[in-house]
Amino acid sequence: MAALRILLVDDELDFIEPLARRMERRGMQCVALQDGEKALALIQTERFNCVVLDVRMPGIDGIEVLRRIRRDHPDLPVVLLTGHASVELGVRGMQLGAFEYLLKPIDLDDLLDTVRRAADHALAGA
Amino acid sequence: MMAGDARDRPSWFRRALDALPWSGASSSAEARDARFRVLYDRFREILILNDATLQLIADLEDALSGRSPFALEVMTQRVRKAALDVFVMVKNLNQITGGRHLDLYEAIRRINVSLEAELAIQQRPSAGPVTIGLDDLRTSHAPLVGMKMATLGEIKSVVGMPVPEGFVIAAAAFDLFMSHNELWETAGRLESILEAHGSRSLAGACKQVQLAILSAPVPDTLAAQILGAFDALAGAPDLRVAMRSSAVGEDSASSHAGQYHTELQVQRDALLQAYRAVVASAYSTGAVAYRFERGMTSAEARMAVGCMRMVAPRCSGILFSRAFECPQEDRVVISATRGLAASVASGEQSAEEILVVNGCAPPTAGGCIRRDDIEQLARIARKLEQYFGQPQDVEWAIDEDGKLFVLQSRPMVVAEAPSSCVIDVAQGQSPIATGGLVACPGAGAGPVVVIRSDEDLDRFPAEAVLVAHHSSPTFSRVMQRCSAIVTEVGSPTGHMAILAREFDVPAIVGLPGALALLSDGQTVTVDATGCRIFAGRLALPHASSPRRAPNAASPAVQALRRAADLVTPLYLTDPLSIEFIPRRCRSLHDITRFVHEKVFEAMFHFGDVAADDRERAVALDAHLPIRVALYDLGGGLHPETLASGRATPDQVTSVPARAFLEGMLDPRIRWDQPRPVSTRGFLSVLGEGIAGLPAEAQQVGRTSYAVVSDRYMNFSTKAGYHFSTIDTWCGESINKNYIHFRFERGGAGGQRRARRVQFLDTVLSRLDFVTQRRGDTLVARLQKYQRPLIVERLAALGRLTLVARQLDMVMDTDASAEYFANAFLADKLESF
Repeated sequence: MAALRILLVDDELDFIEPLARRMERRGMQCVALQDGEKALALIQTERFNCVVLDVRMPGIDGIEVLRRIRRDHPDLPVVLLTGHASVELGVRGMQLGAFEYLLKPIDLDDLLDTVRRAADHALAGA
Repeated sequence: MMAGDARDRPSWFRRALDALPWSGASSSAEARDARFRVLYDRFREILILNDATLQLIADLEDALSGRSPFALEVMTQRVRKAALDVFVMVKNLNQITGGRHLDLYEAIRRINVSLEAELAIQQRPSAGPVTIGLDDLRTSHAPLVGMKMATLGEIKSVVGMPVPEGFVIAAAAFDLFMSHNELWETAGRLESILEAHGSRSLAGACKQVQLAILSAPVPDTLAAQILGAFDALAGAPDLRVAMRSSAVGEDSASSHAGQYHTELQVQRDALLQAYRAVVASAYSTGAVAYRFERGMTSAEARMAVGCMRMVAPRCSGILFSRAFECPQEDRVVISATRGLAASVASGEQSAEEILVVNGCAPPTAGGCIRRDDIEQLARIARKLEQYFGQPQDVEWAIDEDGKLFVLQSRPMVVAEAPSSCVIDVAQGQSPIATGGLVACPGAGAGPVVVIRSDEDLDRFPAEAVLVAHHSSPTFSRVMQRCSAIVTEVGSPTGHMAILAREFDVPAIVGLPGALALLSDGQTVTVDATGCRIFAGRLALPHASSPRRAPNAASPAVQALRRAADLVTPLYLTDPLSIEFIPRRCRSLHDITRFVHEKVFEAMFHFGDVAADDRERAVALDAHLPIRVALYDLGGGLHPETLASGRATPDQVTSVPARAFLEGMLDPRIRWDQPRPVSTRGFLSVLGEGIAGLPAEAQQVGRTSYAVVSDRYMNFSTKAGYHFSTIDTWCGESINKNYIHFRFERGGAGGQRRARRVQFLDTVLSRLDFVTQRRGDTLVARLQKYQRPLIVERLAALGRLTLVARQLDMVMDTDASAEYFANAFLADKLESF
């Protein structure tokens, strides 16, 4: 089975780059972006199995990115990963159809499990 | 999977299954492993968060009723955390059920918005001006200037009592000062030191922090504003002020007297140094240890400093608006000294003690204080007490002109009336029962009424003592008219205990043997505070149960109370009511209750999820009329079984599954032998039943599914006519143990179906289950019992599962339901 392709979107470079490297070591292909607009542009041209998305980012925020992904790519699952625990954003995220709402810091295995399940879910639904 | 199975499931559950990753053929091996585990993990997480939320609700109730001291910020944080926990419960429930309860998202969002609006009041202590005039302060400014100064402002402007004029250097100034000098990090290290090296190392570390503060410059703009506020007071620049600490975020009721520093006779040129000295006292050894005990961090300790014109007093002192030992009597205790009473409070200076009874000064009084001053002080004491709704501890001064000033007022701690009173009355009597835990303190008397089922509550008389085996939130129905509650099982953090505190009904939970010691109709006196029960009706003083102060001490506490109204009350008490819907959820407690109810409903279909995972199934090798497939979540089966795909009963290590199997394998149940032809029931089957057997009846032998861990079991069986599920936890912690049993859809004709439900209802009720019937569905729950009893009941359920199979065809009259129930309970298994 081909490696899962994961798009990581988070404005914190210190967080996202090591995370991408660790996920690659575990057999996933990762693209890390710091900007929501760029992420939306990239998924127009490239195919991913799952997007891991920070909720609070400068510029276009994670909730808006989620909203547009759900609208334009309903089959692409989105996992929200945030350092700011918020009921408000959690509810909006889940109502908009996020696959899961996770809080940082997160155990790598837990994140990998969630990403795999999200990807499986999409494949099964497709 | 059989088509029949899919048809049997509720449609929402099919959707949920479809939404789960394993329904796809392309699942990766690792995700396959996660199949039923993900569902289970989310379920367990809901139960854990449910417990945590109930604990928070209990703590919040306790804190707000004044029964335990608390730090406001810590409680605020915990309330926020609870809202997030409840959101996660809602999320998990929707993930488990495939989005069946999406309305709950709106419910938690709505409650959270209101909650945030209340909590925001306390959130930004550093906002606002750096100095505020005393005249402009109200108690609602406590987050800016600390409760001590905010209260003084209220006394001055709203109550209209004389308070020396002055201003407050607010917490915002403290933030500026600390940030400007990068002192936060230094101060923050105190907690790590305390944690790592214990309290012995604390004194030295505190000294260093205090030195750093004393030598740090006050930023120029801040200094200018502080001096400006000083200059604005009449009489400057020769004015002298007293500088007092006013810590933000600490409940004034619980902050220690004399814990912080006070500077007297401060002149303009010493103002900034005195400010630093008072601020530094926020990091005295005592203050740091005090905060640490309450879970507050240094970042949460904010010091505001009050600056008030010095009064040149003829005499001064403190007073208590009530005598500590007998708060119900009209007594005021005054300590007075000549001149300035700086050290009266700390006990360093001797003072004249005057006891004012019923507003009259004692004839002997008057060393340093006049009789009319004494009576004026007593009147002020009552007035302040009335205004703030509880007894007050007041600092006062009287100047040369005889003018009286209030320098400080805060709630005082008084002895709890009920315990002392009951002990007095009970002298010479020995209790007939002792033990258990206080669910709500106080005392009450009345005739014992034993409650065994919800129906018993309908007949509950006024002023009676409710006695039950285990606590239940349904007791709330009678709490208005109940004088006390005693249960054998239960927890002070449970739903019922919370409700008891809400209604202020004295209650003892977990009192062993209560049902044996107390008999129906016997009159008793319950001393819940002391966890004792006396025979007869002992004279109780008026209001022996501590009623809540109608007027909370501080507005910050009032804000928390308003927030608590969105957290603790339980409105959704009856799952059968049409009001039991997300839209009716008005508190976090309601949502918790709803999720808890619905997740168990969903777990009754857990077996269906496991059923799809053939690779992980372990077949049970046992002499049983049903096939059982086992699925291990961890610790439930011997490790060898996974490789072989088979397990003997001995290889089942799950505590609940072992117990249940033992019951099913009871050798007295001869399911494999032909029934004696003479059995009346069997004859009637021959006579009327066989031709009418529906197709389902022929599905005997279909597989049952057991998902197990070391302490958990979910067993669903569709053998024979019925569909039943047992979901159980059987561990060491009594509060977590439960059995939920659900039985539905009999295959036989309407009447017989009803009889089967009747049979099960009778048996399970007598086995201590709380049962609920709707149509031909029966739900029975047993919770909060010790492990041995849970094990015993699971074995009984095992036997019941097999005999109920046998009964399917023979339940021909209502009497037979009763007959078989009695036979089962009498352990006459050969009757089946």
